[in-house]
Amino acid sequence: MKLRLIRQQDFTTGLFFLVTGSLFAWGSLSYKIGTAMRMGPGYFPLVLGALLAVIGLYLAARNARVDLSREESQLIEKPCLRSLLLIGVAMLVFAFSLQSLGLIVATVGLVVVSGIASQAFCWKEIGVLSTSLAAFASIVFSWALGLPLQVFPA
Amino acid sequence: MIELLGQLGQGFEAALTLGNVFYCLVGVTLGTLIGVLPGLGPVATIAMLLPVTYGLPPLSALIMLSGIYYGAQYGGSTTAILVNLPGESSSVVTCLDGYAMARQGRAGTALGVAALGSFFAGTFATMLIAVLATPLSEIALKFGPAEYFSLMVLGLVAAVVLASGSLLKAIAMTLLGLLIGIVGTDVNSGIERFSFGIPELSDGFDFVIVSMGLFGIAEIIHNLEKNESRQIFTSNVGRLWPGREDFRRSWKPVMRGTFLGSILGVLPGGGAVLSSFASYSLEKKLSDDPSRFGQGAVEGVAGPESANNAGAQTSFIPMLTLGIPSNAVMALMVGAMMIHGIVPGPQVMTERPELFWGLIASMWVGNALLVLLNLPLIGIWVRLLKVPYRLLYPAILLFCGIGIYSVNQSAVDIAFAVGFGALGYLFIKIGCEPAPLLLGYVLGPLMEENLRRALLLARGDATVFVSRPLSATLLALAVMLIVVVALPAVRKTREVAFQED
Repeated sequence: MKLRLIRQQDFTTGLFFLVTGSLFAWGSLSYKIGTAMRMGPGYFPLVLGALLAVIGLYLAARNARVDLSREESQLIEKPCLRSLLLIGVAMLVFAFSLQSLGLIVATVGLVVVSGIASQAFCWKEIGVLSTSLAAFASIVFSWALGLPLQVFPA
Repeated sequence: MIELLGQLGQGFEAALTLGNVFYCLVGVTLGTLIGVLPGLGPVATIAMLLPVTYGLPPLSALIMLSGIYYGAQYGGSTTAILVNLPGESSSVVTCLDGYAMARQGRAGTALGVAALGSFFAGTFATMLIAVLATPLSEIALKFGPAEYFSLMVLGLVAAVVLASGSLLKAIAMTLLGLLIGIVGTDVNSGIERFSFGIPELSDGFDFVIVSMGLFGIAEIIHNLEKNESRQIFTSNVGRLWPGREDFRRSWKPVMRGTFLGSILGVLPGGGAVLSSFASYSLEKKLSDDPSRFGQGAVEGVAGPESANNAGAQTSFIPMLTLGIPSNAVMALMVGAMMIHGIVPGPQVMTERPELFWGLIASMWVGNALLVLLNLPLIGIWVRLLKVPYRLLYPAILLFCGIGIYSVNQSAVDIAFAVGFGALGYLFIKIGCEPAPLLLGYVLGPLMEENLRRALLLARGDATVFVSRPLSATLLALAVMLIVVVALPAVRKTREVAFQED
């Protein structure tokens, strides 16, 4: 006999809100709370955080029942960590190379790293795409729209 | 009435300058483009383009950004009809009958009816905004902090009630948004809250970061795990102008859809999506032969398409007259106005009439441009549908990156956006809609300030919110909404309504 959480989605949601709400409420205790008439900076976040935590607790508790029938379970789809990671890294590569290496290098870096996330990755296509996007971005954003972006390596 | 015409005339004068017509054209073209492309919505696009509008005059910037929103409603229907994929969430129902019509070789007729219905709806909604603006702004000028607080409560409640999915989750998302909005320096005490000593956080998260992360980056990560399967049913769309029989069948649905959409659009949290769903179920109910629906009934295209366009436009009303955004796109528009030093609210109409009426007039101009853009040039949009997603998403990421970076010239901001992207991906996985969060995030600081000011003025007496008649009415409306939704009968229909999603 296998026990499982039904409504896995709602249960996780509840936990997430419980933790975030508690953290916010706990954090706001370090600021002055004040009274309803003269609210300190901690008053509003404390109330909101506590409310969020209560909702989270309720959601988690209500959906933590154990059930044996499979049909009813509402499971979380397996997250695709590969795309999450690659997209995140691509953006970070772009962010931290922009200032020193310039828009062209940063764009090529972003397109190549994010391109790996696609299932139909192909070097030739990525090459063409990164070159044309780098040219487009330099012309449109830096030159035509005048955004303060470094185009070439500093 | 004469005054209204004069004001509209002033608006057209401002909107019809060469530069503004150009920005309007750019806006609606971009809107159509992103509407046609599935996986890229108006929220992400407007967030992406916000920094670009820094250099433009305020009116041109607003004209362009709003063009993107209602332009997307036109473009979304093209994808729905030809590919059976909603380009926009508001076009979900158009897939049902629009695609069925395309399979019968009547794609052109469906596109024509959708465009003409949308144009009619857009014209009507623009006039409605013009007529309602003055009286609503006059009411709004009587608002004190207590009223503003109650109005925002009503707005958030309505957004929660009308969001799809679980009520409790939507409420929690709104609360989370309010909390995220608090990060940064407290205006009253000057203390930095939840900034952990990070200098980039002393002004809080810029909302370009939040919206781009939650809507842009998260969406891309989510799309990447789905396999691409886009097939264009036909590249030959056939005759565009609807025949007499189609006109006879669709004029009433267009009128009803326009009316319904106009009302639902004004409600906070409403807007385009809800309007199209409501119109489809209304047409199905009123039809002599409901079984035709889903088999290519022209009414099923005409009604919802008019409704979503009307809804998209009237959702500007609360933003323009009260300064309260009713959905995520309007929250971005508020941000756009703030960038240009305009505080949205009733005073805009009196202090910057050329801006206010110019924006309204530009909507009509934009709708006219959209008909021209969509009907004769349909072939171009069809061809665009063939661009595979793997070439599209790196470009979207790049524009997001440049957009975020140019807000503060800060690489750390992009890192924050990646964080919000991961958070948004988590929300997709656990089935939470991010729109209420964004609304709460935008309203958070305003709400706190008005709450504190109202209580200070009333010497800590919380009854001020119910003793002032306007504030009490607004709160009563909010309570009523909650009660209505909690009623078992309504609850059931609500669940059914969102199930068709």
